[in-house]
Amino acid sequence: MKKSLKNYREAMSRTRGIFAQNPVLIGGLALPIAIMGTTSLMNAVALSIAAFATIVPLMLVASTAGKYIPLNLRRTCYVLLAAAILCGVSYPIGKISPGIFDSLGIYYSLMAVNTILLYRTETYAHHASPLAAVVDGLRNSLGFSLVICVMAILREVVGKGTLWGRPVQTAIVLPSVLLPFFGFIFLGMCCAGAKGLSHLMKSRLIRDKLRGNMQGE
Amino acid sequence: MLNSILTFVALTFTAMVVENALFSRALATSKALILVRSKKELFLFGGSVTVMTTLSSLLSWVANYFTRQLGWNFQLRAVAFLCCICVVYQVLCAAMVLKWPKEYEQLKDILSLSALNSAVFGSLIISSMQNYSLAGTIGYGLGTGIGLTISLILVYVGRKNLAMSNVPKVFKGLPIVLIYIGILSLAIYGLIGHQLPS
Repeated sequence: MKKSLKNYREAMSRTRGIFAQNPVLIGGLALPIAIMGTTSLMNAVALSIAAFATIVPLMLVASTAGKYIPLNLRRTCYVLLAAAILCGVSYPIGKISPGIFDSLGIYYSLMAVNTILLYRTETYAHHASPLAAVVDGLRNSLGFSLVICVMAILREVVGKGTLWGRPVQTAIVLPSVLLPFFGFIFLGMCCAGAKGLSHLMKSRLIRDKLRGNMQGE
Repeated sequence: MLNSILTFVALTFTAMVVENALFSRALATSKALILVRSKKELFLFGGSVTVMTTLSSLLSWVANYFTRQLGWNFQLRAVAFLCCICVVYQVLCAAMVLKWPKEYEQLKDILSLSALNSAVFGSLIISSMQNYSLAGTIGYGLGTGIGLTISLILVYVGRKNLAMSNVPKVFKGLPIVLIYIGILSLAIYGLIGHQLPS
């Protein structure tokens, strides 16, 4: 049983940031963006691109140059650098749809102060090698993107009856799904689902192993 | 003069209740969930966010005026607002180091969390998008800070009660708090006179 638990832990550590320890569902990071920016798939894709463009380079900067920046200036530097990157990335993102920034509102700019960036650079990147920091940045960005894209697909289909702006056939259209209160409740449900799934996997693994041991005896 | 005072009061109230940073825009949700563990931290965080939003909004109004004159686009103006926040944060840190070094050592983490968060940055961007006057911008900043503090108190009280309740295992912690904030958000949405779209 110890061996299979070890295998389970190894599998979890390989997917750390994506499935295990997901920054949004388990860590509770970048929640404003996950709640308010997931009203359409286009928004979610734009925010995912912004997440990759800011988190990955800043993890690299934090791991290589972080120690040379005075402690009280670090966060300020990271946030300003992220804002500058977002400015540059806004041109390719603008090509997704002409009205993408109107639709995103303040939430695109808020990616500069998102907590995944601030938390991961402080707690992980400063003590890690550049490669490990970049991999961690990629995993966390992917975990964030997966969650917001799944949420956006469900909210857009149910709330607007469209997907990527194109009409889809749905049994019911509920515009309330696009409001902030539903975002909170839906994200809460997703967090509970992720937690439940993790418990279920762990308990099933232990049960299967115990059954195998009993049959062997 | 009277017009400016009325604008200030109206926008302070708007930011506190109608457009509450946490319940209607989900701003600072991550920080709220991390910091609502102790009453002392909650009030320190709320107080410093209020100071930050008020002081930064003053500076951001000037930045907004000049950047609009120069024809900067929205993304560049957001960088300018972030610079305003960073300047205010650094000046506050320097002032505290010089005047109250002991207190600074205790407060530096809270100060950093309250300066660089989505509530402060978001309130400046909204004020700029709406093109408020100076009184309106400061009022909106002040209201955002006070409104966030009130909402943090509500979350703190709810969280305390939820911890004593018999909640299913998978809902314990983050999920139930998010659902609680969602229900409060819906209640406030109805309280201010909105109706659910049909």
